[in-house]
Amino acid sequence: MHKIYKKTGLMNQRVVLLITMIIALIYLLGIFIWGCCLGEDSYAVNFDTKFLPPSGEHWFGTDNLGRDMFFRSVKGLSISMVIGLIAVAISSVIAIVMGILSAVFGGWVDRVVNFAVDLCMGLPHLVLLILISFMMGKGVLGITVAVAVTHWPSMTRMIRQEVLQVRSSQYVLAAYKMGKTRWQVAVKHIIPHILPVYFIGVTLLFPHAIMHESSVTFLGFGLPKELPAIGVILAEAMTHIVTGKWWLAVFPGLMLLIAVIFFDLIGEGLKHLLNPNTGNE
Amino acid sequence: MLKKVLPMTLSALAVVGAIGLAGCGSSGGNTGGETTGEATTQAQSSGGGSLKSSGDVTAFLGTSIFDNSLDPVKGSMSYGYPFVCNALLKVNPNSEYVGDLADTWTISDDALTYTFTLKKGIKFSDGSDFTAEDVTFTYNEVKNNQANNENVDLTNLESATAKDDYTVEFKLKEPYSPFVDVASRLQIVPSDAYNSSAFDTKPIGTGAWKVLEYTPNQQIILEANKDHFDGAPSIDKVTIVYMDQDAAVAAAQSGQLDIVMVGSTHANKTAPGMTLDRFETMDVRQISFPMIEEGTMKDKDGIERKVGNNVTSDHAVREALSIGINRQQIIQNAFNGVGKPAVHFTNNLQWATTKTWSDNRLDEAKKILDDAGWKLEGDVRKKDGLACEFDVIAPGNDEDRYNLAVAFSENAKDLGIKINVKNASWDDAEGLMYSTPLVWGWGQYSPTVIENLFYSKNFLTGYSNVIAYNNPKVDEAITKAIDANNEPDAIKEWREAQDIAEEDYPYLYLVNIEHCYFINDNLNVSKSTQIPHPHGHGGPIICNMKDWKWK
Amino acid sequence: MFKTKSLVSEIIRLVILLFSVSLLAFILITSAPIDPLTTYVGTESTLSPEARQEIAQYWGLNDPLPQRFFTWLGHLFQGDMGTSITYKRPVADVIFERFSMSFVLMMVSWALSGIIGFFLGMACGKHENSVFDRIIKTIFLGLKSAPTFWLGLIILTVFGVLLGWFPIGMATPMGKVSSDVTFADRLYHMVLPAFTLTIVSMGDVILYTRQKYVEINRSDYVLYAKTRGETDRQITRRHILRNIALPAITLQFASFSELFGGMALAENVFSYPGIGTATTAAALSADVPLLLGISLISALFVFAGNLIADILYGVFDPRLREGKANA
Repeated sequence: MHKIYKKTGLMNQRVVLLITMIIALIYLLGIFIWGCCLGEDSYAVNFDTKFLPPSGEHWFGTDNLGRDMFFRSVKGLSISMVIGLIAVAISSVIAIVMGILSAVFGGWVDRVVNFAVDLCMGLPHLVLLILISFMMGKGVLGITVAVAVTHWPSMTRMIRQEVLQVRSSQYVLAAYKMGKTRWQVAVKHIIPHILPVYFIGVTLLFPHAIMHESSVTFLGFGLPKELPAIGVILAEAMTHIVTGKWWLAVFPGLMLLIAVIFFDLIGEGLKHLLNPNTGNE
Repeated sequence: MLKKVLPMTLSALAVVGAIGLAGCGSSGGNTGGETTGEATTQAQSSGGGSLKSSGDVTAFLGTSIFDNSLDPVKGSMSYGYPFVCNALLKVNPNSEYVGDLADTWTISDDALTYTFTLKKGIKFSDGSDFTAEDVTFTYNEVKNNQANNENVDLTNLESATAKDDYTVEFKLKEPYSPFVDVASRLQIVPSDAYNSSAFDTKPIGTGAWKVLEYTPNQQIILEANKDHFDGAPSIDKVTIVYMDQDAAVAAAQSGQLDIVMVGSTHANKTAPGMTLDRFETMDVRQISFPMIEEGTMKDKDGIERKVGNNVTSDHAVREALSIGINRQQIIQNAFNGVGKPAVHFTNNLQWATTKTWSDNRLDEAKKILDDAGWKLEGDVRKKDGLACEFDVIAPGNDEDRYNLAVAFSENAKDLGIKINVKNASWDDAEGLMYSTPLVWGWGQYSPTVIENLFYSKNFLTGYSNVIAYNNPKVDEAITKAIDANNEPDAIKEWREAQDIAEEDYPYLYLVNIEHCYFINDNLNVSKSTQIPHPHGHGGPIICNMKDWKWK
Repeated sequence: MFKTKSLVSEIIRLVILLFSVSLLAFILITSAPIDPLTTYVGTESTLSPEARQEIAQYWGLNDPLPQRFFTWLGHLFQGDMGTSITYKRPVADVIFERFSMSFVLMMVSWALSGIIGFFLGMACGKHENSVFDRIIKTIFLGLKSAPTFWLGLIILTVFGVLLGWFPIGMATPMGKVSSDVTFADRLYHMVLPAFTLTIVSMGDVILYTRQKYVEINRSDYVLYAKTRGETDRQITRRHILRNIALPAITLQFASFSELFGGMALAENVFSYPGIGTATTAAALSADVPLLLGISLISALFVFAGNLIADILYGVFDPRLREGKANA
């Protein structure tokens, strides 16, 4: 039954997947770019419009200082994405370097990398974030560094695994026989092969980074109030949710959730599109 | 299998659905007070029947009460509202010092000897008698372990001796008129029963309450001391709980607490069966204006610090802001109207200056700026290329201070002054406070706050006089006040110091805040015997806890 | 085949790892821009210079880092982890008291999320791509990445405030002396934090179980079993359950790290006096002795999870073990 379903649905599934991925991408990119361009005026303080519930004029309502929550959430999500982006950039570079080194060189290099991964995963992630943020003296720098340097281990493992697979494949072995150096093989064969995994890893990493940023902010180690990242917005909203200002917590929270689900969707989609063999082992 | 799974799925779905439910339920029920107007803070809400009307009281008073030891020797409850122990003196609702364990006191002409006559027949809750020996023991214990007590400073105490069972004589090294304040803050522990580690959680005293159990970061359970010398409390048990502020507001909504301290953000909210009540305080919020030009200096530890601010060091900017802004408007915007405009320390303090003036003089303020060379260019004034713009730091995780700074910044726009509000942790704020205006909160019975704020030598020593205020005439008045051998003279000099300093507008006073609490409608917290609340170091509402009654 | 030797070498590796993790935590904490002596006596203390000197001497605060670490380790082995500045009590006592609270909370949520998650995942896998599957998948994909504190507060609002079924916070009833607190009281206060923690931890198990179910269901041997005429129920019991249960349990053990993080957030929302609230309190007030102790205990916790997971791999599935060694 499943087999049949799969055969007939494959084409369809691919198209649906592509469309949802495009929608997801538009949502994410849209918010990111819009948020970056958004000036402070669009969510400026206005004491005449305090605590308005959602309406046509203020889609997400307003907060205790009369700021428009829709624009503030857009801005907030984009700030969170910037932090996520920095985290992803740094973590993924660490992951790709370590993953390749470990798989290509093997031996003690592999052992060192594996050990580093285990080391980083040896502490609960949140504790590690708090410790790094504590070491950096809290604040913006602390949180960015903490989020940036703690998200590489799982991706390193993924890449290492992938490289190991390519390395033992026929065409790479052939390339070695033809006298290509390790470097040439790496550039010609290995890197192109692991790029899909890399992109999937990145999309999966992103929401984690954002979530951790907001959690650490909530606990009091994070961003200041004038930088309305989504964590700050949610932490602020917590004071009001119990007294009926539900829109302050629900909408930004849902916006974050949708972003997270979309990231995941893109990641899963990439996995299917780039690597149709998964699930068929 | 699906059958088994379904109920679980439903419960998972319920949570997600509940997000919407939370919205509907509360927007319908609880925002009534909100939408019908800002002035409904005293409005009664429906559904009060479910709340209890007798028995124990459970209160949330913020979390700082849990931060430190309960041992008076280590500085516990030394802000004027102790409950387990008593001090020699106390402050009455008029902010005057009156006897508590002491009956009367005298000060020698050279202002070096303070003699206290003690009340007789008072017993500690362990049954032992209270005598002069307990007083000298407590004072010596603090003096010998000054390191453990940052709230009561006895380094100036030469000796404490018991002249007889009910007379104690204190000799000071140097005259220090605020010693009466010290005597009102340091509570007496029994000399025989004192145990430094046990008293951290279970002190023994003469007070109206005994600690039944103290669980760190959870709760302090207090039991009435039926033998209290000033009358037994009418309520048998009070529990002070520790929780997250947000959770406490939630608890108020669900009727699980009888008293909940809340910020002014909640001023126009309602809770079933509870009424939001405001309490008069002596707590003011002010913004410090660095008085000198930008530069660097070494602080008392020899560390290089950024000091001064080129905009706020201009008298015209400080004066224009002080007289030009509309405090009432700012309070309305930031605090939902909770709080009173303040231009100096509050009138409910004996030593505060009584002179007053009106603000919102926009035209006058603009003229001052124009005359001083700050010309409007676009939205912001400029003088010799320097924009009339500066940061104001709202320190810590204090929403009220942040909101206040934002409202102030909005108001200052009318004057053509641009203020950027920054939120920073206290750690970061300490690094910036010598060069950047900061929102401060001051409120205590002791006039030493004037010395803290204005005495020139205090610059670069910490939180005192961060603005580098330096006026020899003010210094002189402060010195005279401290050297005085009687209270009226001291008060006169303290006022003098404030009046001289005011001409320089070194601090911008904004508001005399009011403390807000949700209180169970059936509980009477005896407002007439409440003292004006000092700075909120843990919910001063408990100052008269023994007078509380169920209606 | 399972070998004792490999287990021993695995344990040695893990012990070295544990040592290194505590070293890492030590380095991170001690390189904070705070005067080390202040972190031991607190900012509020103005202890006499002699007393300070004594403390500095005892903990080797003036020594270079490696030496300091071994001094700390030395005291640790004698059972002395220092005194917490925040709680003014020995760190070991604080940790023991707090961790036992959290441990119960974590284990309840862990077991619940494992069991419920497993069966939900099976159900999803069985009805792959049905509406039920899609809804569950989307919900838990979201919940997996939803900030725990946000979820916790919404749960608190709904069940604590709007419905009023459960207490708002704390681990024991307000105003009840600890000797009077009953087991039922504790259980009642644990419901909401445990519920929150359960649903945030459940996502991984569900998605994993679902994925595996689909994979195995399409495998040749299940196909073969089908052609042989085995019923769905038989197939599920004989092939699928057997092949998924163990990896799922192993995955649950390996998730102790995430569990700890979720617990810390849930505790903060529900004012639950466990190790999570102590962690934030310690870090916010620069309580280094306590922070060190907590890092160690949390590393031990994660370590225990991994160790059990590894042993499960080794004992029950030699194939996986070899695969891992070759990888």
